Amino acid sequence: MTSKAVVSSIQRYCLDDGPGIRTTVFLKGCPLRCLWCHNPETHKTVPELLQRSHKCTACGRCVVVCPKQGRQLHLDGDVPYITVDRTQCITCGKCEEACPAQACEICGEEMTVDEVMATVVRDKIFYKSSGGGGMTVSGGECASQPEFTLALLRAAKEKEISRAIETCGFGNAEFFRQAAELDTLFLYDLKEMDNDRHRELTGVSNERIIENLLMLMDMGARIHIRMPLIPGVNDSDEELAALADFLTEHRGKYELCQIMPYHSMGNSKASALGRDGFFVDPELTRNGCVVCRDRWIKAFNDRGIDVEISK
Amino acid sequence: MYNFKITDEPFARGYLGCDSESKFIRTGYGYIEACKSLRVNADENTGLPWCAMGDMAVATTSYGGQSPNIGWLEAKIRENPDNAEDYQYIIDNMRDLDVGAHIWGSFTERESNTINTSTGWGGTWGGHSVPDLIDFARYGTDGLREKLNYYKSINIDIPDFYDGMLLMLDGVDILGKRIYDMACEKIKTAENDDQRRRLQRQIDTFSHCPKEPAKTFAEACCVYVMIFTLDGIDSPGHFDWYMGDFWDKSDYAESRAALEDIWEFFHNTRTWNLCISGSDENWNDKTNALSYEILDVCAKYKYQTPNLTMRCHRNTPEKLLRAAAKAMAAGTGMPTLYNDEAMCPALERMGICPADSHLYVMNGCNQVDIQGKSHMGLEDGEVNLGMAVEFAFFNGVGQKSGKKIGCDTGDVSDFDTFEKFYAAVKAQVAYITDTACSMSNKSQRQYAKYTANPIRTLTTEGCLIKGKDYKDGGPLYGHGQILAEGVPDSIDSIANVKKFVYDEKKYTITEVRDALAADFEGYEEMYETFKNSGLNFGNDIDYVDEIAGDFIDYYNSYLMTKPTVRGGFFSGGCSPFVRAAQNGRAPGALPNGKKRDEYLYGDSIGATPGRDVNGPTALLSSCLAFDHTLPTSGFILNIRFDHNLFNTEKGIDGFLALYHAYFDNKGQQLSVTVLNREDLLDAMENPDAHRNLIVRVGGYSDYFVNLGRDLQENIVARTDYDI
Repeated sequence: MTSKAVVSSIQRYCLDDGPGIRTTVFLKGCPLRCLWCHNPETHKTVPELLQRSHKCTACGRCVVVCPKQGRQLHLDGDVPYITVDRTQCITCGKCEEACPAQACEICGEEMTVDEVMATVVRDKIFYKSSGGGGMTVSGGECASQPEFTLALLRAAKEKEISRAIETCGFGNAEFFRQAAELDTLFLYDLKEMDNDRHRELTGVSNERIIENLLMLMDMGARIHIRMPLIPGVNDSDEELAALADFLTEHRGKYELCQIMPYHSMGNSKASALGRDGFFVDPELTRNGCVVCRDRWIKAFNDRGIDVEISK
Repeated sequence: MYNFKITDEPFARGYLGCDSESKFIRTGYGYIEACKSLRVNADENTGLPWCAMGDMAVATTSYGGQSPNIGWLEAKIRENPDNAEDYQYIIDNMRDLDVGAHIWGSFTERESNTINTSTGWGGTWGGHSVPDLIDFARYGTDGLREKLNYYKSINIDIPDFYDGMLLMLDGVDILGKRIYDMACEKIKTAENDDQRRRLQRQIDTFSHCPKEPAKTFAEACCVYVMIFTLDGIDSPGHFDWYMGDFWDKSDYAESRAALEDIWEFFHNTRTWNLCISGSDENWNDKTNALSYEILDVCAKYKYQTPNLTMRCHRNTPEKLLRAAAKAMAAGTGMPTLYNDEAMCPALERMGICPADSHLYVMNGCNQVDIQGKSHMGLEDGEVNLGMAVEFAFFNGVGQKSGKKIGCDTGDVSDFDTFEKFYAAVKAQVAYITDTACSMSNKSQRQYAKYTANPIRTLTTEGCLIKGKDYKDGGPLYGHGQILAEGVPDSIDSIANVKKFVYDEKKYTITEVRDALAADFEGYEEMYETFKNSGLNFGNDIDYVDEIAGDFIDYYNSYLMTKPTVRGGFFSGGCSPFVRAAQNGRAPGALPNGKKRDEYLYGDSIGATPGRDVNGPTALLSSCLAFDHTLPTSGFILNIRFDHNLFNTEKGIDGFLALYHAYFDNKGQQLSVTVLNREDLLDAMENPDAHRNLIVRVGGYSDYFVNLGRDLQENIVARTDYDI
């Protein structure tokens, strides 16, 4: 296999990315920019520097090794600290090697299909014992790297490992068609039915997303609908009703619907990337959005749609 | 005959009252006198009668046999000079029975140094045990007398051996009568119905027990606890099996109340290990109604003790596994799961027949015995594998002690191949193991010589027909077990040396030795390289796991060639838990990046805490590099889960899938820790020890230590809720 992609991480023992125990392959690169994104390190296709300032001891070793002189140790304040000029960063990884506190990390490594599969196959005994576990390709957006993703799915099929992709649905129809032919389970995001609002929230139109979903439904593909609900952002009664109406209309063409309640854990990664986080009233998001849940569930149950809430 | 004024040492009084007799008869009289006047309680709060054996300096205890505690007697003289003469008389006449003194006197200087430096030790104590104490409830003392007289009529040349036990049984009858009288007296002034009910239980029991068999579960519990405390034993063993018949024929409500009472009792007395479920030699499942009831009580009370062990196998009902996982999630991570599919073959390798291997039971923390048939649950010793690595570098000399404790393996500078270095480490392992075995055998010889153990001898198969005491090779099986310490730490050390010295030739072996001697001072680069090499056991890395399998299988196999003085062979295991820190302090700097004063050390066969960063499937896969059918003494794998991850249906499904994969592939044991709020707080303060801690929420997960402080606090707060 010559196909390569930048992988942000391969995580074993995932319980939330499809049935059973799964190994999830996170690819870098996503065409969407959802305001609330919890994996901001996967936006760009290229490797990126994560700088975790809360772990930094300002020892200065990274300053010395940086070949672009992109780091500076400041001794002017009460405590010493380090600043990074990200425009200089070539993600060479010297700072990561030098850092004794694991505060610097280069996120993203170019890998071949074989290299990814070498890790994926290691948990075969666990896929079997968990009854239907396997590999999930996530991201980022795997549809943005169709050739690599399809090669990965094919390789998994050869090794008799069950397959799933986690997707926003924004991609080439041919990719989705071919993925479906490889008996792939689709963990398919539905974020917002109103097209204008969808643009505001994610940066792209939802037309293609819905077309692809309908095509997969017609093909009889295995589909789990996933709805990230962000309190005060995409969970108004009208928005919930529009989602529920869509699901009612296509009842029987998907296996289950899950609500993914918003959580703020992506913010620490955003700040490690030198970006701003996304603010949602913490009262509304506390304990897995416990104050909103009943209203969410009711909106779907009223139309006879069963929903799971992801914990 | 000497006339005692004191009443607080009745065992000694009985023992010394017939000084021309054999140790068996003398011990029998010791029991009679003890049963007449030791402190007992017909307890109105637990409804179970107990004896305060521990009050006496000369008594039976799980750990010491009937060895007199000379230091304690001397203290009694100081505190109570009026009775000095009596205590002095006991010291003068029993000093020779102080087994501890004989044991320490038998050790060579090098052996003593081995203990003092936490390099290893061998069986200086009496040990755990799981005899069939239930025989007292099942047959009554009259039934047991019949049994004794039968064997006495066969072995006609050693009547004392049996008469000593018959005397002990007379003592037990006296004890039962005392408890009956006390309960009858107490019930007159009972404060409430609960107390009356609990005292009535004891009156009902001891109106005919212990002479006659117990009729109900509640009665059996009363008799059991009385004997349990009289013997000073510490682990009840396979409780659901031997109590199952009583449970089935008794009234449920009364039995459930008694079960909760005995659970409370086991907890209050810090009882070690209670076992449920398991298979017979045809792999039929032997779970019974009481097994489920015990899981339920365990989840309800959330006690840290007793350790609950659940035996699993190919036919374990899914319903039981689910109940077990729910109990784990409820609080303490119990039960601990053992795999019959690994344990039974391991025991059969020792020469135990299949019908008996399937009767195994854990006692102590994780020592194995064959219920009612063996004396091998001893915890005979430990071998600190990290010290073996150190000795290979310094030709047998300990860095911290400066003493020659290991063997001669030559100058490390001469090891021009990895094979030579590795052979030296193995030679040191063998040497420390030999030392531990010889110390254990010396010690156990002393126990055999000086003590008699009538209760265990009577209730352990083999002793009566052989005419030999429990401690003197009487039981059917007399194997032993010596535990490994520093499993992952030694593996990681060897892997780093192999890669950086012999594969990549980045350092010479002499440089590594000098760096270790200097505690990496002046060798900071090497320290960082070793510490951050990523060559850590527990991450499913073939390079490391191949070393792991070879090294630990070598240790476990080597032990099996070493005979015990009890007539069996030694076998390995690994269950350090709290001792990990102490053992970690023993070696100086090690090539896994441990500095001299660091004590982070393997607390099971799994990774050095925090060093397994690829999640639980990788950890389990690494651990399957070992042959789990070699060690019999609890080959423990501690696995940690965030409370929120574990305590959901999905979390439990995930755990059970891990369990099935691990046990289907003959993993021996799984011990779950469900991390609570305090653990997370600790991870905030000591991130290095918790680098592997994954937390999850809403389909997203990350390493806890990577999260910002505010989010960590958020997650700590979250564990207060059951969401």
